[in-house]
Amino acid sequence: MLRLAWKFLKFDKAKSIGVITAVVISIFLIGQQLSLLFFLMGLMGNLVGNAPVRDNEVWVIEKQTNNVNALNYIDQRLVQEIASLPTVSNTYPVIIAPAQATFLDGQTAGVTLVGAQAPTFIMGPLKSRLKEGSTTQLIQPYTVSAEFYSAKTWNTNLEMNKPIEINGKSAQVKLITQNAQAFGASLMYMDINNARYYSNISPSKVSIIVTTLHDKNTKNSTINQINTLFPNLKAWDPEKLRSSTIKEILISSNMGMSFGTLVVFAMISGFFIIGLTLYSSALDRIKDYGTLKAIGATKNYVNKLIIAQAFLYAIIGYIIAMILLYGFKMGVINSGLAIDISPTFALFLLLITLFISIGGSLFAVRKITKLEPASVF
Amino acid sequence: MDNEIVRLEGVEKIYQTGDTTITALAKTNLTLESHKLTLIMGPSGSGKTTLLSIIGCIIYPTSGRVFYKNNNVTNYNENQLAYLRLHEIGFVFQQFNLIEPLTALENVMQPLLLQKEERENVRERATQALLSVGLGDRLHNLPKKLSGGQKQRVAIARALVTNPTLILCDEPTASLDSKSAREIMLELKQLASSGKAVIIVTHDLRLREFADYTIYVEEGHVSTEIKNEEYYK
Repeated sequence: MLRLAWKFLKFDKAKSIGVITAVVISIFLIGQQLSLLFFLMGLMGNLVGNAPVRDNEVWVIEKQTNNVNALNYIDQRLVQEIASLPTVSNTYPVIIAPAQATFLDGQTAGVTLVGAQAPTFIMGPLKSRLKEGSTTQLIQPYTVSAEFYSAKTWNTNLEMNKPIEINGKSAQVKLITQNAQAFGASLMYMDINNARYYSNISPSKVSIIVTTLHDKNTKNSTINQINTLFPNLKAWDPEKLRSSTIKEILISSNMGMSFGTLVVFAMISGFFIIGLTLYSSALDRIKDYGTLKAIGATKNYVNKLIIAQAFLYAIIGYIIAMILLYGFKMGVINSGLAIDISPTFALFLLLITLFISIGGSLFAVRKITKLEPASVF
Repeated sequence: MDNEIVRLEGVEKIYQTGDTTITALAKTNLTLESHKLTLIMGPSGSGKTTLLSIIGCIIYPTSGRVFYKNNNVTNYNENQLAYLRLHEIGFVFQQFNLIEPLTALENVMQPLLLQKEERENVRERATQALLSVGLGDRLHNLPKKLSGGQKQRVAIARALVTNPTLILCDEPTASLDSKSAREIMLELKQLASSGKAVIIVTHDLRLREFADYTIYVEEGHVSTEIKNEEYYK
């Protein structure tokens, strides 16, 4: 069947190129838009994503917000109070604060300071996201990290020991991160005392209380206990906080809607272009399909022949689209757009390709199903 | 009758379009035998092709019964009829109806592949069929690279490759020059002599010299059935 379908494809080159082009454009657009969206979603939740989160961790923040990027400050004394709960093993205060970085050439940029206790650095960054240096170098006073990919937008060269100013106070880059960007201001990791110093946040305030538990199985009960005992706080499973952050930004910025619309329109247009081209191709070959029916092919066989052609178009188009998508990924990687084409995402795109190709072929199938073998006379 | 292949009993075909009723074929009784070459003649629109389509199990009659080798096939479903056509009937069309994307060999292989024969066996049988119609040197040519006569020979090879008992031809010589037409008719006559039932729809009076029977159809009525020798007398 596939062999016969391939012969039909090869014979009708112009239409085959048309269908394959439609598949490639649709799938490349869908893949590009979704991978960009996933990348941005990763950035939105990168305060959690950059942290080496363990199963037994609970993050406690002020109750009013569901977005880790928009935190209100909470009382430092709560760090000890939460630590006194029987299921809690340790608590770590974290400062998240906006600041302005100034470089020697006078360039300025908005940054977000992430201060956590040394040497644990509970908020990260993950080792896999370090380009140069190590977190132990952040123990020293006046030392900060800086993001490699943010250097381009800052119009400056980033190198170890580079002197900078944060809110007018001197600092030195002792750690360079890579792919630890945030959605908005670049993240700068440092010791909590440095963060307080640069941001002028009172020692009595913290942004997050990272809480570790003796037993990860007590996570839900501890979350409930904290939420009950401290009405102004909300305890989160870190992954849920990340999801909540992404959801909130997607809704408030309308980003989900605009990316979603693009993807849906790419699917619809691909569906119809493929469908109508296959329909037109089936009309061109209607005599051949009629002949097949007259000499003894069943309706089912002829329908399968059309679907087999759509399947081949889908596979060829998918392979080309994936090559283009990998090309796009390699092309933008140096600008810090770390697009991830995971096997699951690739499989999802394959299913979409099959759906729009085989779905589109149903126009032709419908036409050929009605074709009487007697039409050949 | 031992030689009976197809029998039509009171077969009628009526098309209804809105308020208009068209009788494409009036009540017809007809028997077609093996070892015979039968012509179906008549003016355009007389019902010849409708008769051929019913004999070829391509369309259902509005009423009456169709017997194939004494089996009533009138109530067969589409798949059963497709199976019958695939295994028992060979078709040769006026416009050859070769499948354009396939080579001569692949066209002839197609009915055998539909029968789910093994591919190697299929290739060998199709090659033999093409050799038997003198196209051994055109096996891998696409239809567009063949002359009208060669296309018709491929069509005949395709019709014969499954060894059918009934061969139906719709104006097989209409697109051919006189020489090619004669060669094709001699081949069809030879097939009838070898035991097939060959039915040919034609306008060409010259073909009567090859026929054992001639059936006339006019305005849906199968009016005359003349044994050929009697006609010439």
